[in-house]
Amino acid sequence: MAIQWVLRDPVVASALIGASRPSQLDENLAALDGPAFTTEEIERIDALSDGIDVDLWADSATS
Amino acid sequence: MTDQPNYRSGGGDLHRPYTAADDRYDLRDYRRVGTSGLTLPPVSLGLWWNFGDNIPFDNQRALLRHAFDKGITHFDLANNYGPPYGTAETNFGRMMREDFAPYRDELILSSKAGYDMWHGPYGNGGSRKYILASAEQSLRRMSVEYVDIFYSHRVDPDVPVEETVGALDTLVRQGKALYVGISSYSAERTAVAASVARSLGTPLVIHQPAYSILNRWVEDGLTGVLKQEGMGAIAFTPLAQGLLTDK
Repeated sequence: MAIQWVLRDPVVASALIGASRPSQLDENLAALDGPAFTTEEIERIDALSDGIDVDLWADSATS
Repeated sequence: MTDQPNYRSGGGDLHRPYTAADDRYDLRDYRRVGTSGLTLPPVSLGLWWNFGDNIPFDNQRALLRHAFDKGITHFDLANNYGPPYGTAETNFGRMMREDFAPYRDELILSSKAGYDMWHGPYGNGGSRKYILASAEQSLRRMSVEYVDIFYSHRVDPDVPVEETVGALDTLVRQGKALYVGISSYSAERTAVAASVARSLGTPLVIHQPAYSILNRWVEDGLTGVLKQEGMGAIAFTPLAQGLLTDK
């Protein structure tokens, strides 16, 4: 679901994930192939994530 | 079917020659990167963690084979992924020689230079010296003649962007990279870098930013710049490094 969300704008061509076991890959791929988001769900996520900022790469990205 | 290699029979399938799954391209569509000719799978595999010398090689091999069998055609590396530095590339290089050589043309491989890699002033940053020397090392460790994408891994504010982007341009002209990109550049710096790259005749095609539901900075300007420049993005830590599980 988180991967589908990051891909919702086609400017993001791909989501780069790590894995330590094949089963982790399968879980992420299965979620990718699951049901798509509705507009309501996207709006609700927008409302909830407003103000959260977990950017560990901020120094590089905002300098 | 267990994830673990079968040690008792001398390794089982893992130690037999690899043939990729026949149906690997039937599973999902590939997505265009900006307006370029490059397409990528919706999920790509990063070798940032889990491919260092601290991880059993058989685990790494099982993972990469499984990924390719599922249609994941893009493996993302960098010079200093490991630990220790360089070992994700050397371990990948071994898998390249032993398993993936027949599939080189079906793979999009990337590497990068920008963070700390070797001692002294030329082993870090955005200088022409560092980028060109590091790219050469990466090709050797990865056992490939070229990478599909080479990135400036981060901004170096002390180096003119013309120099950093010029080094990427040189790699393309030398045949060492097919496409070039940047990672973790701000929207403003991306616009400048893209303009320089275009003037040199080797447009940037891709940006690799941190991006997830919990980290939406790209939406404040970067995605707009990418669209203007015809570039695409590949998002790292889409699961916020485990804070978000993908259900």
